[in-house]
Amino acid sequence: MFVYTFRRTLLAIPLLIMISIISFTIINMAPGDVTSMFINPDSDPADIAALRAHFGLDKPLLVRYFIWLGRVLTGDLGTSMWVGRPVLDMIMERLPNTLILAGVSMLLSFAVAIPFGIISATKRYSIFDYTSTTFAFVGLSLPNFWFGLMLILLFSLKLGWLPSGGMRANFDEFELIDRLRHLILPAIVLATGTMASKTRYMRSSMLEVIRQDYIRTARSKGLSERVVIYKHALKNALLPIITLFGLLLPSLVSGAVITESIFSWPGIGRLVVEAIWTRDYPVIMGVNMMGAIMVIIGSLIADIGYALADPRIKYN
Amino acid sequence: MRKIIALVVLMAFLFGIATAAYANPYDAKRDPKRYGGTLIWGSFSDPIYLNYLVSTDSASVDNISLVYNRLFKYNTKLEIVPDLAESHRWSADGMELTINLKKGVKWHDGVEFTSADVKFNIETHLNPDVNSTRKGNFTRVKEVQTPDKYTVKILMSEKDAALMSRLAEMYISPKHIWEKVDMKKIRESEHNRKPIGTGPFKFVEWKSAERVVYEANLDYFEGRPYLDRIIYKIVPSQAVLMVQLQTGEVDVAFIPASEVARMRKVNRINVKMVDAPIVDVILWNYQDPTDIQKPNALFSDPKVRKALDMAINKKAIVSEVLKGVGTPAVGLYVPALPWYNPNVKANPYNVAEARKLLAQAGWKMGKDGILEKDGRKFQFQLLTNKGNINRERITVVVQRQLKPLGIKVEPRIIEWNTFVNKHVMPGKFDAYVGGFSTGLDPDQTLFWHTKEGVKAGGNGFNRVSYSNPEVDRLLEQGRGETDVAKRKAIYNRIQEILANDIPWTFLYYQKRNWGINKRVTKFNVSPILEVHDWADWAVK
Repeated sequence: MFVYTFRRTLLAIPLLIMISIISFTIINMAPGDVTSMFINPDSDPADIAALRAHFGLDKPLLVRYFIWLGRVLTGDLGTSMWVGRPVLDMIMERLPNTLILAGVSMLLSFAVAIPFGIISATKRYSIFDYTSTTFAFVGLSLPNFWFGLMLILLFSLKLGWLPSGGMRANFDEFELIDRLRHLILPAIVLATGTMASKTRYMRSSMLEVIRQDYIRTARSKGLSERVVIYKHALKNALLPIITLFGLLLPSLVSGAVITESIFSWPGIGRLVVEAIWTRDYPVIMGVNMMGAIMVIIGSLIADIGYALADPRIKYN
Repeated sequence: MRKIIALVVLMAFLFGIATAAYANPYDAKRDPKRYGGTLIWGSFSDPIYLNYLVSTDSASVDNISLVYNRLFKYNTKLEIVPDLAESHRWSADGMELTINLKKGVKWHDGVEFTSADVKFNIETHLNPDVNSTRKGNFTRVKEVQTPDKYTVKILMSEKDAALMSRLAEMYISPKHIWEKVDMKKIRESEHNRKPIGTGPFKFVEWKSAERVVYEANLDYFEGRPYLDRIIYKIVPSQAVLMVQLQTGEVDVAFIPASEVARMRKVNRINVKMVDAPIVDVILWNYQDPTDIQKPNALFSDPKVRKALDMAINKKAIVSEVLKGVGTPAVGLYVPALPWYNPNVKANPYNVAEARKLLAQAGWKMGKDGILEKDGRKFQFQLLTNKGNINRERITVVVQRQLKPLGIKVEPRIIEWNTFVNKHVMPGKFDAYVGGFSTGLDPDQTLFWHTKEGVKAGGNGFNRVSYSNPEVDRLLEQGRGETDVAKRKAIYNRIQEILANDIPWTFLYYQKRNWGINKRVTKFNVSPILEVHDWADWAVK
């Protein structure tokens, strides 16, 4: 297992380099660059050229890529061209906020999806199954911006129960209740979208498992239905969910642009969108690479988790 | 109860200190009962640099206006009045401006503000290492001298009437902080995020993408501001910003035109409309988009431009796109400005006359209902940038309005950077819908001078390469004329010529609509954008 993990980690290096080359090329193919945010129409072309040279934008793409790569290898993600701050600072400032929001919404969606999936599977074609399937699809098709605004209109404007945005009240430093009040609406919006697919996953994997021979054996042993489902079936039915969890891991750090914007949540999603608008290459690359690393870690965790949960799987 | 009494006593005590300690001539104007409270100002975007030397975006300048001062500012009548300056005087030949400064003004860290600060700021804008976007404002300045701590002498290389308005825009950053910073790396300095100014509010904290907090500068040279605190709160979604205005989570915010009617009905807020020096327009290209040396087959003919100007119903656009929040435009000079020429009138909306003009220009109706001339059909793409909903709608309304005349318009919405770099700047378009902010000075060289055009290799806003030698001459004359009355005559004439030449179709003057919570008992909103004495604002 250790050797396997080590080999996967080594394999990640060329993968990351490939990803960085592709994203570097793509973002540089977009027209314009950050200097158009600085210049006035009456700017002297020589000044614009000087500004480009200052940011190193006058060099060929390949040279710029290697300069960037060289810096990254020494642990320096560079400085934002637009804001003038170190990219790492900018990411680290937003990352905890995104982690909290995405983490809570992921917990929330699993907490709802797993029991709903199980019940839907065991009571297949019951009213509960139909209702939860309907809700799952409604949730899946609700656009985030619309659902978010509706929640704000109801809970903030009409009822006045919850704040309509932001991460904390204006002066208070960290306080749990205050933070939860601000978290609850965006977390619900984010969770609702993904809850649907998770419920469906859980339902189908449970259905598959309870048709297996060993479940029939367990039942014929005279075990109670509860023990059969929750002890014998659930363990095996959770396997695909582990994969799902691994695949969802990158979303913990990539941020949710629309939800963050609607709820004024200071997360990574808004950071990267602003960076794209201003063609702030170092920031875009920084966030991209972080996302890429999380994808690799996520799939590695999923594979390892798989092996741990299922003794039939061995990696050599 | 006891707590409340204690609090009242404490407040009264603090009040006593505040009023006793700051015996300032300005305090006499202030009503002592109004001191205190927090104002929350909501906006879509984070500021970038809280330093006028490098800032370019409006969110930054809004924040800067809380912390810093200028040498001069505009009053509500849009006259230039002293701010950090005490008085000023031009030499008879207009080549030397002497400014006397207020004495005893302190930066928030206690250092005295002096003439050296002024010199440093102008020189920094001109410093090639800084790449200031405001360099062009001061290129006619030859030298800045500081005969003593409270006197600044600006020597000109060429007469420049616009200098006073430039100085009335320039917020002054402290020399003693910035002189230690490597000017090549000025944008990377941490001081951009913790400003020290002379202004009514002191910086407290800035949480990116959340809020910037300011507290009252009790030593402000015009007396302490009424408010204790101002919080600049960042709410990226416009819809949610409106909700927050309604719930009172935000006290002040700009309301988009489409929301004005609804927000007027909200009990909690006042809607205050002011003119903005922003005009939305359609630019008709004089050049062929495929080869800028050739004239445009459609729009280089003045009769065609006049016909289009008459066939586009500006009133209908204002009511349909802006829901009535705007005024049909005559030119690029906004009526609220003293430079506006009221004798210039827009072409009336007259489709029959437009048809006649097109026929005179040689355009005949084709079989498919589209005008034709020498085998060319009258059809073109009307471009605009993505993200501005008003402009996107305008392209469709214009398409509909021109269709009965046999003109086929294809609206095309393009992402901003592509729009600017691939179409607008190289002159590769037939026509586009744009918006221009003119500022308060009447100099419009950037918009109309031949040398600013694409053909002349200029970088100005004259992307259609409009060229009229008389306008060029008048613009140069106006820039050098320091006599206000003579200057006004020059710009009156320019407005007349432009109304006749119709290089662009001026659609409407925009409005800015402040939404202000009724809790705010005193506010200062001038008839035009971005002029507000924050020290005078108060809340209940």
